[in-house]
Amino acid sequence: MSYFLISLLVSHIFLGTLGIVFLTGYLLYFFREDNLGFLKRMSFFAFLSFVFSWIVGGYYYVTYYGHAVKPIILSGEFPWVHKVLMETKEHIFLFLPFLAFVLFIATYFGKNIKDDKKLSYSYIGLCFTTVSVALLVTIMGMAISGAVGK
Amino acid sequence: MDWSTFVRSMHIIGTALGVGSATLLEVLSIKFSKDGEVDIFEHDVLRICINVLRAGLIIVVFSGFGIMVLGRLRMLGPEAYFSPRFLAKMAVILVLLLVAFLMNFRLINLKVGSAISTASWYAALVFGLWRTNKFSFFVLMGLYLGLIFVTYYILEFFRSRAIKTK
Repeated sequence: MSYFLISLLVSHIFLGTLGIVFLTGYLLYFFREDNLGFLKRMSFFAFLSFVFSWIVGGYYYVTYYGHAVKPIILSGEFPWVHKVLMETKEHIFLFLPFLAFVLFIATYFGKNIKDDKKLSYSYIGLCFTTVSVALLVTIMGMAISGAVGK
Repeated sequence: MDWSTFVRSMHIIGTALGVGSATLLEVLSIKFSKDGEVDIFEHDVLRICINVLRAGLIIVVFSGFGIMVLGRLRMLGPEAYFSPRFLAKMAVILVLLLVAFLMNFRLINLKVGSAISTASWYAALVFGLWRTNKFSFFVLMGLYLGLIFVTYYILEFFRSRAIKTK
């Protein structure tokens, strides 16, 4: 595996985790006073992190995973890790930048998002859904990495 | 310094910050609650502990992924990553995250939440260090559950003692 591909794999994991950290910050600080700017920044950086994680992960998947990693997993002890988890991950993963984008746009252009209780819970619900999907994708990614043995 | 030493050092630093601040948070919150109210200074001190705890969690998560990537490049495989010890550590970290959310939105009793959080940090530390253990995932989770109960009752004991010695 070349240094370029290792960098892509590391960036994919790092950016994805960073996205989760930004959205967790969004969730934990949502009800603090006078922090709309902070929420806008968090949602924007989360969106950027997921987009870049998407691009580098996609490139790694298309150019390396299919011919070098997939056969190892399929011939190993846990072929279902690719057949079920990877197949699920590569589809669920597509939603993340869009969910983060919706959250960013809604936070950026939203009016009275903290005064209206019902509306604020919708924001929290959207953010929590995005974090949950991202965590699920992370756990699947860990299982996939774990299935690659000698 | 090679990458392995760097990420392992960060992992230890993150765990130390997490375990240390979780312990300090409990000790100080019991001490501060003696008079039945938390003033601005005490609130600031507790906030600093919470921020250090969150920093510790972030460092642990990122360095943990770093260790995982290095293991993936060495192709350590299922023996390392599907081992009961590793899965138990992951479960504990997930519980830690979930409890942080629940406590933030007051969806869980704060005394129960803080006991789970403190016990989780210690469990993560012990599972990380105890490399020779051969227990199954469910036994480790049972030990973790036991640790949560023990932590809860220890904290309750010190809380009630603090109120009595007011």
